[in-house]
Amino acid sequence: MVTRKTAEQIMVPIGDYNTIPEKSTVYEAIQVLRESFHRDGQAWYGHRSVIAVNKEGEPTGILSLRGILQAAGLRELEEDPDLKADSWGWLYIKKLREEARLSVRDIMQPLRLAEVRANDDLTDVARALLKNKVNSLSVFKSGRVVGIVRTMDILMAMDGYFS
Amino acid sequence: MPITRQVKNIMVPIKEYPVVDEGATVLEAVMRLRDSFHKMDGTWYGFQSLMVLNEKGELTGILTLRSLLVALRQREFIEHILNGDPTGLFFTPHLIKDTKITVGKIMRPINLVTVQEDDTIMEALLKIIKYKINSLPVLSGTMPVGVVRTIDLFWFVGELLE
Repeated sequence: MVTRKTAEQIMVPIGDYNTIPEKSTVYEAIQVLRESFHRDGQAWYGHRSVIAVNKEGEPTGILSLRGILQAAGLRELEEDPDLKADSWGWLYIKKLREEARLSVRDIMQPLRLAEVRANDDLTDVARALLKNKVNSLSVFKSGRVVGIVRTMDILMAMDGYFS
Repeated sequence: MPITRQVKNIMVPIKEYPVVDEGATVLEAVMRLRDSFHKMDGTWYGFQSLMVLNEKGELTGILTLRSLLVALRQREFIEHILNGDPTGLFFTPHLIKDTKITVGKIMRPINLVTVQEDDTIMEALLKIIKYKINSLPVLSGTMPVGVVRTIDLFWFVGELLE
């Protein structure tokens, strides 16, 4: 008999993440993120996302590496598929510098977008992750965010589910 | 000059990347990834994809965490049917054949999206964003030599803004 693990048991507690006020600029978020992880050989340690908080200090969104990279330049890419990497590169940097002035709130993934409950089981969590096409889910308990679940956390918890 | 830096300067060399055989099952692939994970302060860290080798030892694909999750969900569904409903067997013969889902069937073929080691980092960034992937195989001609990931590029992007 396998005891089903819950979201709360496999999540990364919200307190583990660095936070940033949602009105900060993307530029400031990049600095916070760069400080939150480091390289040891080929492995990166530390979290690849930062949690955005509102004025009351409550978590409202999650901003990932990918979210930042995608913010700049994507529209140009979609409009002109023939755009060469060289010219796109300069355009991208220019856009990135402009967008670095955007606020975190403008590009973050709102925590309410893809969520599960603390006592949802592994199957529900996996389904939610796949259905929402995201890499992280927020975990709610009594109306508050208590943690984040990533694909890796689900896979690591699958001990004994299949013999 | 950061914009002209080449992919080979930031990639993970192939010999340092975890690998798995095409014929391995989904469970074996998960085990292989788990071996490469570390736990620090209660949180798991590690590589988020595997390079795939065929019988001749040639690199033929890349297997991501996400595709593993999809495959495991599929398998769980199949087992649920098999365990819960014997009559369901009559209606799902094609699923039964695939209860052993192998890596080769769910990996992304290596030639689908690649970048050359001499290409600029911008080229890699463009592909990672455009194709919505997190790991990009790096080739020297037709030979795989490494992998470049979102995280490797992010570091560079941070430098661009300094």
